[in-house]
Amino acid sequence: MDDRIFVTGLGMISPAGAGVAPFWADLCAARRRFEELTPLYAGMKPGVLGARVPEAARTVALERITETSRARPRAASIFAEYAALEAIADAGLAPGDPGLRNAVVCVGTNDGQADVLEDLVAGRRDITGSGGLSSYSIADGVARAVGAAGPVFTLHNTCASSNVALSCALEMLRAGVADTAVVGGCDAYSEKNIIGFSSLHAIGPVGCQPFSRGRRFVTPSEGAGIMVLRTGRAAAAGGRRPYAELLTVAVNNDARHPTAPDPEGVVDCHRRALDQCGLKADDIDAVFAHGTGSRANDSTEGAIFAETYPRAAITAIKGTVGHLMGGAGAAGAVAACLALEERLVPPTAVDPADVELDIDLVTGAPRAVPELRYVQNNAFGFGGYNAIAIFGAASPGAGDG
Amino acid sequence: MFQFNLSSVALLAMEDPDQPDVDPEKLPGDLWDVVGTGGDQFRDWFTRLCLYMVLSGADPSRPRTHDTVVIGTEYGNTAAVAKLQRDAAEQGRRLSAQAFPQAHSSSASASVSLTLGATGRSVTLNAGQLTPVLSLWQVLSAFANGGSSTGHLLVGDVYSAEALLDARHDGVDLRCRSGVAHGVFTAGDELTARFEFTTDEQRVTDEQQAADEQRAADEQRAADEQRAADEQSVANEQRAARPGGYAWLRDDEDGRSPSAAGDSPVERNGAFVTAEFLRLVRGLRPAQSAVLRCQSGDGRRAAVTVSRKAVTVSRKDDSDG
Repeated sequence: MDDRIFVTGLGMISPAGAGVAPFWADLCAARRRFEELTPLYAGMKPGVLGARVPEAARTVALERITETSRARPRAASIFAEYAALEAIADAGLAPGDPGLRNAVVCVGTNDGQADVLEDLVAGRRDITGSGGLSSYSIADGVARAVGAAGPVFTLHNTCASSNVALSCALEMLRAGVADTAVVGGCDAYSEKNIIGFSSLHAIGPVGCQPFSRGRRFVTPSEGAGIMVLRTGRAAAAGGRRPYAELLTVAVNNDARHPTAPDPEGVVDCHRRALDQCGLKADDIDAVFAHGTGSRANDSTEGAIFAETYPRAAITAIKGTVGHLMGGAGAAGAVAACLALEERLVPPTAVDPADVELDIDLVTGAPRAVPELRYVQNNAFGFGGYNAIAIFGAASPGAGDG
Repeated sequence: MFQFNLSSVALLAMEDPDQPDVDPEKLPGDLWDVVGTGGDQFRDWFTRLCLYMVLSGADPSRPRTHDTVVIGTEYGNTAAVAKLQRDAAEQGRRLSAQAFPQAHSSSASASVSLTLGATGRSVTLNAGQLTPVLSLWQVLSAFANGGSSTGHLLVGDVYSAEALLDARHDGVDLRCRSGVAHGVFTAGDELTARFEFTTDEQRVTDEQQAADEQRAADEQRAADEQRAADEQSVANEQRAARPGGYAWLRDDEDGRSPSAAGDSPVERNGAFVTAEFLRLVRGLRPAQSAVLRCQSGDGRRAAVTVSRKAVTVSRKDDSDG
């Protein structure tokens, strides 16, 4: 059994484009690519903003994924498989590599193969040749793409899905089930989500403005983030120097309300995350907040930051790339690892004069933090789902087992 | 290796195989008393059945707990998701805001956690045909890592029209019958669980090695005994080589498999094999084991062997007086 788990590879596809590099570049520049979404039903207000993976990035991803997946293109699978292939290459692994043979594959998603189901319901596509609508096919496709034969599963925890996936993979690696995991999350544009958020008046013509006084709307987005996790022993055996160490993931449920966050439950998740890895709130140098830009989430989360994490630099990337739904935690996790590698916290795309609470929200330019050691990544979701991951800097010699 | 106790097992099965959705006439008479009718128009049958299973017999005055909820399902709340889309097309701006929270892939587990007041991890998991084993792993892992002392495992599906289309199209030719199994697990040490994740290729290598070792150790065993044991083992292995889930008892005293799962048609829905397995576990004698093995169409396998602790009789030392 190997208790230390390291992140050795990252993959990403997002509205910034295909790959980790454009994602990080957009975060650091606070460059948002929001666009108006087409109304989906009679009475839905026009002008709602969202963020889509650009067509050019889809083309790049399609060319990269397996022929089987290319023949039956489903957006979630395209995103997840592309990000997984980028992540394993980044980790110094190739599809079918012996290091991946027994790997755990775990993908978090809220909407699964939404496009297939929605096309089926609307009569736009027949099930024949679609590749199917079961969400398992997302993780299965990733496993086939990377050549992994270990446990394969998909997890659903609304917008906390990716962090819950990280939690499951971490526990499996620590239990000795495998020494490598390909894990993360994805979601593609879902009509159901647009309809649902519209019915809640949670999306609209102004882009996401996390933690600002004027915040009102969530900006739905899409994409995937995938990480390669390896035990210390496996990481030491070869491949890339780790980006970070995954110290812990805490998972709980508010069990209070179908949509509204419960401060008590969210506080409890923060406390559990810190306790599980033996840290105090003061030890956390930076937090990638869930920061959806909604009144309820940001008030709850911001109050915790103000009271408990006065020393931490806070950033909320949904103001830049939008809300990747089930993939949101993965986007935050990838960004957290890049922050530890670069010793840099990207800014939140809001006006610094408009920040509501007394928190150290990074705005404007990226902030250099030379001594960056511990970075927290929050992901919460409808249904009371809370999941918080804490990453530590990979110390020199990390992964030496 | 996990340690735990198993408190209860239940199965709610629909009687009409291959029929989309549920015939309310064939549901338990106390369904609405148990799950309640407030906001029910937004739930689908999968959520209703999950709620019924966890609330049946539950103490209504129970306090909030840190219980874990794990739901293993292939299609989960697909019916509610599809209905939201249809309702939006028909109702437009009159669409109720209450529909959306019930139309997620994890709406059932959220509803169960909310209704129980269970603040532990709440997870919806889809591992295809391997869902029963991996869901059980999550429940038991929560005891070790999530601070829970009670875990609810729900495995099953209620096949909507879309789910049936998908299930019949993916090349896994198994019977589709709706139903949900429920097991309540508690922290304890009466039972141990050992998991194994392999593929066909690995299985051949590992099991060949195990068989070689077994043969060397059993040289003294009579030829007819060995042949009988092998035949039973082969029968189980052949059953377990097909996609689906299989459960059987194993006697740990000599490694044989004295009884095997019934010959009923293999169900796609993991609820049935999960309930069968958990009932075997409930009936285990000391030192006896039950095996649940699931296999996907591509040869991926997951198995769990649950053993009841052997009774140890300690001899009293005379010096203790």
